[in-house]
Amino acid sequence: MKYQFSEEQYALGVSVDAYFGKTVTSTWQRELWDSSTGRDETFWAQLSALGLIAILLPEDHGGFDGSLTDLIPALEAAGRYAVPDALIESVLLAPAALAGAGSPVQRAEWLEAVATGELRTTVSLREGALVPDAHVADLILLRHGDCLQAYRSEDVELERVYSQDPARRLFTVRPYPGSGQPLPRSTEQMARLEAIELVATAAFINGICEHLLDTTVGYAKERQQFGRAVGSFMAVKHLLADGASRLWLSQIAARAAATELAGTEIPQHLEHSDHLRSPAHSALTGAVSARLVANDTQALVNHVALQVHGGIGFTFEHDLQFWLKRGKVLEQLHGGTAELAHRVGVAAIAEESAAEADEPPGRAQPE
Amino acid sequence: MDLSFTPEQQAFRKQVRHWLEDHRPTVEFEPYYTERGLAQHLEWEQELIEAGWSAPGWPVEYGGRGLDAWSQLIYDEEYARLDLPERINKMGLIHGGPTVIAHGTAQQKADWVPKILDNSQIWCQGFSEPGAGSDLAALSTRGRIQGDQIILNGQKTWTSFGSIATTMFALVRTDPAAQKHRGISFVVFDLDTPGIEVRPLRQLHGHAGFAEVFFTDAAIPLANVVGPLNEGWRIAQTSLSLERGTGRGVHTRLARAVGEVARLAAVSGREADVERLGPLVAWNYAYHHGSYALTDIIESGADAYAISSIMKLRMSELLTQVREEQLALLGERAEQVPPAAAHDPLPVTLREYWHARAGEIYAGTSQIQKNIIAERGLGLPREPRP
Repeated sequence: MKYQFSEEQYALGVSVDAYFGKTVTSTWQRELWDSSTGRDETFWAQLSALGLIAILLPEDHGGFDGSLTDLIPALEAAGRYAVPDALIESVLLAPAALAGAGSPVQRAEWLEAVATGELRTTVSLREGALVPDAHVADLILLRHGDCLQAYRSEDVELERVYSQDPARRLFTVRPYPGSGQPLPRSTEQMARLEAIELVATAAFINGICEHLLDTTVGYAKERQQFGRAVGSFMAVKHLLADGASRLWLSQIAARAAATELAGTEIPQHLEHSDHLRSPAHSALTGAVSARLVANDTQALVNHVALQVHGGIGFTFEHDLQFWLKRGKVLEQLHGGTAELAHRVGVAAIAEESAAEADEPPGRAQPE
Repeated sequence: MDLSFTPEQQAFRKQVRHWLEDHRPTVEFEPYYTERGLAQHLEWEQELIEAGWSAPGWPVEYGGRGLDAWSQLIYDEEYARLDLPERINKMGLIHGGPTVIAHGTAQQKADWVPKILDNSQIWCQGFSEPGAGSDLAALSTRGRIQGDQIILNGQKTWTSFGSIATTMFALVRTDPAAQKHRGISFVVFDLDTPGIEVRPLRQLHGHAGFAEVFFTDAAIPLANVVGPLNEGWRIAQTSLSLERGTGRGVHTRLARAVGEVARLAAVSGREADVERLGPLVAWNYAYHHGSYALTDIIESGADAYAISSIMKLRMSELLTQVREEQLALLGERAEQVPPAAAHDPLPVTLREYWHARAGEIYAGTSQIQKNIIAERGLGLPREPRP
């Protein structure tokens, strides 16, 4: 049992954090809001150079054959800096979909260029949902029914949809009739891809919460009222402790869920009763759970951060809004808290009924 | 990250599981504070003692098995999985004994530690007082030094296992002139010392596990001070941090409580009930891995002080939420109990509900835990204290 990242995983997190710390500044972010694409080509190139895109790709196609856990420190760092790019979709999910669900021909054609960052991708796993960063993608993966379809940028028409978070670039994507090609193994890969999306988003959200808590704790130590730091009042302290206690567990949950997922084959029909007590079912429930816990944590920390900052945090000039808005946006994605809660509830009831058979008999406690 | 147990650890789990399954009691025990219940508990614990399963985490030289934190966790999980009876000497096994092992003299260790291990002494903790709860260092039970004795006067309260205990470890004020935290000593004494009176206290769910303990010129040996005189506050930190610790299988009990709620939600079938179940299951998942992560931290020897408070806080909050949900699912019949006198113990579901509520108070209230997390974990300034 080990709940620490490996030295390599930790080191990647540190170098990614250092790069973001240098690059993802407030000025840079605010300039991008008003630029035409909202994206910086050199930033994307550097993400590839850091090896982030290649991590989940197979070695024989220019990748590192890594695991989802390898990416968690980088995703947490991205959340800490509120990185504007659709990192989860472009760096992680679309490449993983192509590698896992693509035909040998598709893999041979695309993966190496994806690994180097030359071929930029994005994806939406929910049919009809908005697609982030579609305007800078060379390859867009869309869901139709149970299948993913790959489109080149010239195969689709894009219409920008504006977000309350000015860093996000969202698009309605309309493919031209007859265009695109299916990823042949996407149906059997769907459950796994959805789980990866949930865990990766949970890690990103945890990064957002980490920043919000750190910056709010810092502010509470400095801000003086009634002749002392506001952070010395229990009313304020307890808000921050509520956030910190949830965040610690939320980080552990996402790291554990990523590791379980990385080590488990996810079959296609998990609702089948044979699978209910399987590691795959528990890894999948773990992924939804980690995301739900991150959502709960985010909702609370978001509230605490603004509340403790008070009026200054409510200004457009203050950077707190980067994390407040991104946090609320991510909270609603992938079904949002209510749907995630329902999914976990359904899974737990199914597992519990399957478990009743092999429950230890009898109890020795008094009634 | 590596979320698997080693083959040795898996084999150890099997060994523990087989032994517990083969030897566990087959009847439901009466409460330990009744004569029959106490006999049942002692008989069961005698089996544990003889087989070396009484305190497996203790060092071998003190009769334990010297288990590391992971094996202790496995043992605790297996004990909790079978819902085996609460250990009546847990204040001695988890708090008092390890504190004596850490800070006691050779003589104190020889006198007390084996007796905790074999239940020839049952220990209880004398920290809280009517005027010293969250502000524990405000305690006023006086320990006046007179020759080679300490004369105790004052009162302790909320003393778990007090009604059956033979021995108390307590914090008493031995130097009233010193600053609040400085004049306190950690002492151990027999409860049948003349001048000590134990009055059982019934809890709101009808159980009589608590006691109040009164001291009137009770003379105990000065040699029973653990650690240096007037440094009891520091010594007690060992006991307090052990009390928060890894929770001793509490994550297994939380998981079982969530399972009970899942079954009720399955019967109800209402979508709203399924949806409210979700966060309980999800946080249980996080708590399970949190328990393991904390074990990893403890095993690596790192400082787990604030993390222990996080776990204690979240446990009591989560368990209360789960038990609230259980009552909600039982609905208006949740209040119904078998015909009984007003002061009789409540049946298990209601007892577990109120017990969860107590968890937000004992071993440092949720508010005290939040102070620790904020000050020790986040480095926020202390509230100005008079």
